[in-house]
Amino acid sequence: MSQESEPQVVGVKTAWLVWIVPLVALLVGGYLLFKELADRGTGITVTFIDGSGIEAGKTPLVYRGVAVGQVEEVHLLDDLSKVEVIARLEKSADAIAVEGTHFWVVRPKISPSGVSGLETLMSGIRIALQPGSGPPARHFAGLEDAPSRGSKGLGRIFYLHAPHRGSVQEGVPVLYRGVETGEVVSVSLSRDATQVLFEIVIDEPFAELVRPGTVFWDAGGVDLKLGLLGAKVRVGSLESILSGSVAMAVPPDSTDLAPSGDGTKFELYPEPEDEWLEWNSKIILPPGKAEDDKPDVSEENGS
Amino acid sequence: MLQARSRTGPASGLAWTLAALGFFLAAALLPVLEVSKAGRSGTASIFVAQTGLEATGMPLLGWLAGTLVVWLPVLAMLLLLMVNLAVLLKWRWSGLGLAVCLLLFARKWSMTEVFLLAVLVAFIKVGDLADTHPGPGLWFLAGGALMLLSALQRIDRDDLPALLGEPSSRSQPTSVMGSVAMLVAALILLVPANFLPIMEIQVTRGSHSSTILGGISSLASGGMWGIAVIVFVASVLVPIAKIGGLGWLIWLSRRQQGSRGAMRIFRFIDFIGRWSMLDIFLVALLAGLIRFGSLARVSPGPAAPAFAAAVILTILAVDLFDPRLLWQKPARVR
Repeated sequence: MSQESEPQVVGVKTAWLVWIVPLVALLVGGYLLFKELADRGTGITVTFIDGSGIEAGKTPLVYRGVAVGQVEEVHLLDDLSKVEVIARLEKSADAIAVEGTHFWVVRPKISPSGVSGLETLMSGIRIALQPGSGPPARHFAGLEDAPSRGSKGLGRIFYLHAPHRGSVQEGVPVLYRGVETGEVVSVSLSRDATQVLFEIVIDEPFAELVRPGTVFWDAGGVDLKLGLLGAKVRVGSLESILSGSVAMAVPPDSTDLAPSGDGTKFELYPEPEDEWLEWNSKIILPPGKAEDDKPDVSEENGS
Repeated sequence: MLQARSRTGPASGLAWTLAALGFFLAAALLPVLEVSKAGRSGTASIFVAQTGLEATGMPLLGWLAGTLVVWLPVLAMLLLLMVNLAVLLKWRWSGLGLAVCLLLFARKWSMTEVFLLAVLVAFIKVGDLADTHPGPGLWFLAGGALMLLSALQRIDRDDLPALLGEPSSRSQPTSVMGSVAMLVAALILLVPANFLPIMEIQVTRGSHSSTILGGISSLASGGMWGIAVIVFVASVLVPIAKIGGLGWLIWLSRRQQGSRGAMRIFRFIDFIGRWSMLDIFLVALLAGLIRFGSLARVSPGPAAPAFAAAVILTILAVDLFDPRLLWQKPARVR
């Protein structure tokens, strides 16, 4: 800096040369400002119901394990109904600011259906996201929890009902022959409070298994029957003892029927009939999507 | 009169210079500041002014800071040694004039005391990022800086022309237009310097970049009012006051309205300029100290070189302005 500004110039004719210094300053200063503005990513706002743990200047936005932005400001909406988070995305992650992108807060969570987000105990909470594919957008409504499989559009939603919740919880898997085919998304009381409603999502290739006649039962826990002729113990897999699961079976005479559509209701039985366990229906499953195409949110919701 | 001072001056000047050299050597070998965080620790010597910025991607700025904090004071001490010896032993040597010119330059641009203030501010500012302890080198550096000051004062302004063998004159050519040009350039650079982040702080929980004003407000909101005021005065008030003040003086000189008061203002502006480098040294210190991998890291932002350049330009602007214009009939004003 100093060498360019040493004026050896005293003569009137060359005195103007000293104005090169402000010119250089203008160019350098302008370049610095321009570069900063050009490198800035898109600013977005996301609203959440619960803002606990979100800190301005600290909480990162994470996608596929990589920070793609940062929270710049957190404040309440004027009507106090929600928390508004103003975040700035990295320049390379601008494609995230499109309609259909889901944002949710990852907090450490220990529940019967699994442990998730433990690393956030150390590193502080983060905001995870699932990019959408709509037109560009700036304002988003955040989800309170990781999006369920259904909201990703990768499965079919069905409803089960039972007089009692049993051991079925939100997030427990739906098994077919012990293979996970979907999960219970929500557990709630029916509108007239006479039944418990379970919303389940069956992943796409396995949704073919759900057709008229398909039966569902609560496969969690240990079932012990004592009779005159002896005792009978039925035990699921270890994980289903701990956290419960829903099992399903397809009767042989259903193989010719068309698969059920979205939203079909089924009964959830407390236990299977012996016959169901012996059903051996042959159903050709359509080829599943390639693994790469499945958005990796399993790490985020841990269930 | 001159004879009498020359006899006691050079001898004690020599003593002070040697002492300062010794203290600087000790300061160079011992850590000035020690920090530790989560079992990891780091130390900073005086060279951190240079290495801190070099290691975080700003080698040119690092060299500038290193020159101002370490190399120019060392050069000043070596030249003092030479000049004092020359006076004491009555050498008449043609290179002496150049040596004195260089000495004046080194004295003008040595900023060890500003670095010391930066260490103090860093000491408090790091507080919430890591544990900080002053190292033994800090006391040696403070002592060395004081002794250098003392040694420099033994060389009287009046002695130098005698040594140089020419009437008192400024070593640099002066030009009002040059001064105005530097001021304009500094003003332009202050815009990115204040709007862009001067440093980026990365901690486990994310990163944030802070501008000069942002850093000051975070200090103030953290209850560290004293430090906030110091940084505000050094980084915001002084550059603006300098540009405004010198601009006003130039305007006065053109209207031939100089006065004793204006002269005093000029002296004051000349004195305060260097303290603005505080923020650059602070960033260098933090960048050099806070290097704990993913735990905590500080790196300089794009505002740092812009700010450093603006400060250098204001100092040059003051240099280029001939204060005699404030009381003399302007002969060469263009």
